[in-house]
Formats: sequence, C-alpha cells, structure tokens
Amino acid sequence: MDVLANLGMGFKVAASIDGLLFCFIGVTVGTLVGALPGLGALVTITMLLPVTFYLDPVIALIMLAGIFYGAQYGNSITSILLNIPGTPSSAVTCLDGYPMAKAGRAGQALFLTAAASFVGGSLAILLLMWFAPRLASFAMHFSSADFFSVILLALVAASTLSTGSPLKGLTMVAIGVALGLVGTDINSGVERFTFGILQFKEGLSLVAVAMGLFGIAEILTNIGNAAQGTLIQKSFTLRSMLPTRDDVRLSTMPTLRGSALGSWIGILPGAGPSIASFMAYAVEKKIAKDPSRFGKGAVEGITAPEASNNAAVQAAFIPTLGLGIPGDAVMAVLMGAMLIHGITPGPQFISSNPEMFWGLIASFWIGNVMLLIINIPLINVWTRILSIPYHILYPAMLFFIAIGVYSINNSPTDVVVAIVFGVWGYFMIRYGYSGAPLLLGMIMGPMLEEYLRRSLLLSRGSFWTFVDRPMSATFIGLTALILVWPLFRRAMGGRTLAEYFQDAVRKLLRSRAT
Amino acid sequence: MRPMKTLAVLAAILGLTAPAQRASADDYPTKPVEIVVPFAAGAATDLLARLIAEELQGQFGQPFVVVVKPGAGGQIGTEYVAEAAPDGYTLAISTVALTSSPFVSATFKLHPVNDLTHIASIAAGPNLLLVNPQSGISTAAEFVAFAKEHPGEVNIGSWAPSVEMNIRLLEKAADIKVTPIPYQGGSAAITALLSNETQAILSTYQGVREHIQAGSLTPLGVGNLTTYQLLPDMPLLTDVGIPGYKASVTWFGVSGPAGMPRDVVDKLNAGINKALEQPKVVEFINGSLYYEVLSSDPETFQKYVSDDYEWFAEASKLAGIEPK
Repeated sequence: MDVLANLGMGFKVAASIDGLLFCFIGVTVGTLVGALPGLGALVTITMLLPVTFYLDPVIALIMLAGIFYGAQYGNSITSILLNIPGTPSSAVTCLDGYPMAKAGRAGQALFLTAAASFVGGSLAILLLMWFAPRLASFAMHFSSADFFSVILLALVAASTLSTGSPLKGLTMVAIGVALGLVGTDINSGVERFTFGILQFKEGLSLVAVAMGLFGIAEILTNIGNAAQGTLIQKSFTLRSMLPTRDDVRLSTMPTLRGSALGSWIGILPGAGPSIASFMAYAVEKKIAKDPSRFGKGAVEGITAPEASNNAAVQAAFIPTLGLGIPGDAVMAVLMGAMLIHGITPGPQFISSNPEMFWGLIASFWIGNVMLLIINIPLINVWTRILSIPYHILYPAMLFFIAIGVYSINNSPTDVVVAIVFGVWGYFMIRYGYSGAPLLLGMIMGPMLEEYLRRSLLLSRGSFWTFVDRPMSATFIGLTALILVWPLFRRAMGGRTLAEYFQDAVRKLLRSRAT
Repeated sequence: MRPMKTLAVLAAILGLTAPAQRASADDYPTKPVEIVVPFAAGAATDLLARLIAEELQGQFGQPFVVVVKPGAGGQIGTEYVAEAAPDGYTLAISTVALTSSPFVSATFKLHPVNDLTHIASIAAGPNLLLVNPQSGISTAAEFVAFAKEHPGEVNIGSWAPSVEMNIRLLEKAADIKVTPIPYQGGSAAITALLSNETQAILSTYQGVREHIQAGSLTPLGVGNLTTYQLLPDMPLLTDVGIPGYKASVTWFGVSGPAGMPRDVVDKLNAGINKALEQPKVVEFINGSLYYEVLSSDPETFQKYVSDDYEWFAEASKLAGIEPK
C-alpha cells in the first residue's frame, strides 16, 4: 500500500544512527521534563531551539517532537506518586493515581499509564498516517459555533469531575471561569480584573495556577506530616508492578475510548491535551456502572486520561503539518524550528516534503516504543522516590515548581501567582473543595466566551447559528442528552440501556403471548 | 567585625569590582548580553532574534542570550528593557507593535521614540489583502464593489492594534463598511479565512504563502505605496482599486534603553549590519519569513521609528480610533 511504502521510506530516515540517537535524547529529556512539576515541553523546546540550527531538519524535528510527546509520558509520574501534576494536563491523573499509590499500587498505576499512553499515541499515529490530509481539512470545517458547542459539551460532560459535593464542584468551576476572565477582553480591548497589573493583561498563567493549586497546596498540606506517610510500595519486583487481570480487563475499553477522544480533540486547533485528559476522565465517570469508585483508585480514571493526552499531542501534528496551523504554543515553536530550516508547513508540506513527513511519523513509532521500553523498568526507580524523606523531597519539588513556573514567561509575577494559589488551595483542600473543576473552568471558560461572542458577532446576534450548522446542532443535542440522562436513568430504575430494552422486549412478548 | 576591618573589607570588595564597572566601547561586550523578545517563542520575532544573536555571538565572542518575555502585547518585555541600565547589555527586539500600541491601548506608557535608543533595523514587510476564492472575488476592484453592495457583511479578521488600524484605513480609503472580527492571533485569523468564517484578511506574506500556492487563498494586492521587492509582480492596492491606501509595514529592529553611549550603539549597529549580510541570515529573512532585509545606521532607524509613530498618529485620527 502507498502508506506502508512511504512509511518504509520514513523508517530509513528515522532509523539512521542520528535519527535513533536524537529520538532517544528527545523522548528521554521529554519524560524527565514532564516528570518535573512545573517544567514542560514548551520551555525545553524553546531552550533547545538553537541546538537544532546545527542539525539536519528532520533530525531536529524528531528530537523536538520527542520532547513534546515524551512529556506526556512523564507527567503522570509525580501525579501518581505525589499528587503533584507534572503538567496541567495530568492534573486529572492525580485524582485516581494518588489513591492507588497510597494503597501500595504505585508501580501498577505507573505501568498502566505507560501502557495507556502507548496505546493512545499509537492510535493517533495511525490516524496521522492514513488520514492526515483529510483530517486536516476536516478541521477546516469547524466554525466558531461548532467550537462553542463542542466546548459546552465538554464542560457539561466534565461537570462530574469533582469528588464530593456537586455544589462544591460547581463553585470551583465558577471560580475557575472567573479566573479565566482576568485579562483583556478580545472584542472590546477593555481590561478585566487586572487591577492595573501589567502581567495580568494577557490573563493569569494556567501553569502558575495549576502548579500552585495542585503542587504547592499539596506540599503545604503534607508539611504537618511528621511521619513518612503511607506511600510505601510493598515490594519492588517486576511482579509487583504488573497489573492484575482485573486491572487489564477494566482498563481496556477506557484506554481505547480515551485514545479515540484524544485523537479527535487533538485535531481541533486550539483544543489541546489538557482538555483531552479532562474529558476522557469525565466520560469514563459518566458511563461507569459505579461512578463512586472514581477518586478512590479506579484504573479507568488513570488510563483513559493518559491515553487521551498522548493521543491529543500526536494528533496535534495533523493540523500543524497538514495545514500549517499550529494547534497550541508548543506546535508554534516547532513550526518556528521548521521555518528556521527553510521549511514551511502548509497544505503542500506532505506532498513536497515526503521524507520529512514520513521520517517524522516513523520516528513517532520509534519514539513511542522507546518510551514504553524506557519507562517500564524505570517504574522501580520512580517508586523509590517515595522513600526519599519528605524534608528533602518536598523542598526539591518546590524548587522545581518555582523554576518551572518562572521559565514559562521569565516572569517573577507568575511565581507569586503560584504561591498565592498554593496557599489558597491549601485551605480549599482542607474544606473539601477539589481543584480539578477549577482548572477546567479556567481553561474552558474563556474559550467558551470567545467562541460564543464570535459566533454571535458573525451571525449578527442570531442564536440560531448554533443549531443551523449540523455539527453544532449535534453537539448541542448531545449536551441536552447528557443533561437529561440522569432523569432518564431514574425512569429506567437503575437498569442499563441494554437491560431496559431487554425488559421492554420481554414485556412485549409476554403481552403478545397472552 | 570592628568598624575599620569592615571598611577595609568593603574597600577591597569595591576595588575588585572597579574594573567591571567601567563600561567603554573598547571592551564592549565584556559579559553576556540579553536580547529580550517581547512576544511568544517560535514566532517570527523570536526566530529573528535567535539568528541575530547567534551571529553577534560569533562576532563579539560573548554570549548573546535570547530571553522570551511575552505579555501585554509586547509591553512587558519592552518596558523591562526600557527600564534597564543603558549599558548595552539589555536589548530588545522592537516591532511595529511598539509604534502602534500607544494609539490603541491607554495603559501603554512607553513613548516609542523617546524612551528607547533605536540601534539597528533588521527587516520589514508590507501587508497584503487576501480573500477566500470561495467568495468568487479575484481583484481588489471586485472586492470593493462587493463590499459596497453588502455593507457590514464582509468579515475581516483582526488581532493586533496595527491590524485594527489597517482595517479602518481600508474602510476609509475604499469607502466601504466591513466588520472586524477579533481573533487571538494571526494564525487563528488565517484559519478562519480558510474555513470561510471570515471573508478577507490583511496579513504579511509569510503566514499565507503556502495557502496562496495551494490555491486556498487569493491575494488581491499589497497595501503599500512602494513595490514589494520579494513579489514584484503583485500589484499595489493603490493602483488596482483602492487609491491612496497604505497599510502599516511590519518591521523589526534592535533597540535598547534610552541614553545608551554612542560608541556602544555604533558597535552594535555595525555588528548587526554585518550579520544582515550573511547569506544564511538573508536566506532566512527573504526566503522563510518573506521580509525584506532592512539595514541602516542608528540615525536612519531612529527616524524610521519616529516616522512610523507619526504615521500611526495620523492613521488613528483618520480611522477614528481612540485608545482604551
């Protein structure tokens, strides 16, 4: 087949000594950087940009891309072990990963997330291989109204993220949306809630808030613990990290669902891996037979988001390479790297630079396999982090968080923001408020507003624009469905849909028989 | 410690640092130089900064470090440099955002001409008017006719103060009414045009080149009064249907805090101009970014910025834009 022949050509490039070496460097650095809370792929890629001047363009891209998707493998490590997310997109993994670690199942959690990440990435690469140009132009058909409806659907679906009182969850979402309002209104140019502080003119930094709320608050919460805590892995053998048969059975479908969701969200420019992981978690919680298991160590709660965020970052290459439209800030830097080498990604990129495109894809395969191979044995090493005494571990984490947050914008204000949210988050945690819904509100709130107002601007004030377009109407319909589903469920008396139809058919047959 | 001993220690410390405090152009640079990019990493400004930094590093032997300090439309990074010591160790990449922002943003406190020393220009490029071929429009005259028949219906993407200004000027010059739709950045606006959400855009060539070649966008002309050297066959909008229309020119340069010593400025200027002669740099600026290389001495660049600032003052009055 054409695709396989091209892939073969790609492997020749990617499997060269240089290709393999820089792929390895990229994914390893990426994993490390993803694991360190606060530091992320964006900063690392920006710092390594000058190095790429001296490399062959394909090799340079292979390395930088490796850092990008490698970070999504590493970011679950501290989420699971310490309840501190490596990057904002793995904040959801803390919810079920950390309870698993406390129960002594850290090794298995890490294994499952590594495997889920691999599946997620692979699915997205398959999409990339076969459908990149077509999918890229599909993204073109998304109007602002469609984006609005998708994000509304995501917000409603993800409203189940909080463990505990729904009212508290809703409060946190509302606060998150309010925080997202900080900045300059795009339509009128008026500053909102910036209090005259220049650094807030473009909004609060998401990484600063996330790291403060999850990272610093977590550290503060644990400061009082004199004891080492219950984070001890019982044994460090290979067998101890292999998931049980139950685990595998429970995580298969969530992983696949997460991968599909993530691939799809990654294709939409502007959406991004953070949304992907939140949504995957929310979907799993919504369709689970027993949602109360979530937040206590449900394997679906870690595998679905991890598969999803890895799929999203691989799929983000589709609009970038297929259309020249960067999906997010990291992609923009990658495109910059390509520009420096005189390559302009765009609609004709794939056809005019086949060796580069297919070389990159082949390197994705190699990179993902490398990551799986690297990460599994390292699980033992990572879990040993748990045996580092708190008085050394937590200051080190604080240090990394501060550096990571500072490095985003080279701004000390961001570090102050993180600290403020850390202290505030500490109190929030004590009173039973969970941080995940706030993050969700902060990410999705501004997007929702931007797309809503733009859709109305384009439709000159008509709300019909949201149902006129087929895609938008579908998403609104799904949103409505999700909202009425609980009532529906009550009517069905706790049966699943399949059981409901079975009962209905049985009733029908019985009435026919009499 | 006893007071005399303290004094002695202090004197010794001061004595050791004394040589480093004398800044003279003969030794400049004696320590790493910071070049601040006030916009996001990976964008054109950042890439230009890195190339120039690399060249200067090779010439002067000291590291020229690019520091990305985005925020407030370039204001944070530029103000940081304007408030730094004028010793030549903190520089900024200045762009058209510097001269246009004062007229759109009331909180932009910097005076583009007086608060900075303009050292050397790097590159510049004009804006083009583009439409989506799905609209059936293929010339600027057709565009004007269409806009006149459908006042307010043509959506144009907008994302920066200078773009807003250009759109208003277009309205005045062609006597039409369009609706500007705000987007987060040029990329998002180009995507919107490709999906026909908006019908036109005023953009520099680099972001749209691939799409023009693929046939998904149609260029109508260059919004300038002089020919675009990199596309000599592209007509000027002022010749093909929108007489007298001049949009802003997107320019890049290196600037420092006000009051920099003359010899340091001259040394940097010479170094930058030498960098702009290197084939690798020219190739990148012309071939990848599609900007024209703009080499000048400090006076000319200072005048360039000053002229641009005045142009925006006139334009904002003409367009009726008030700072918010």
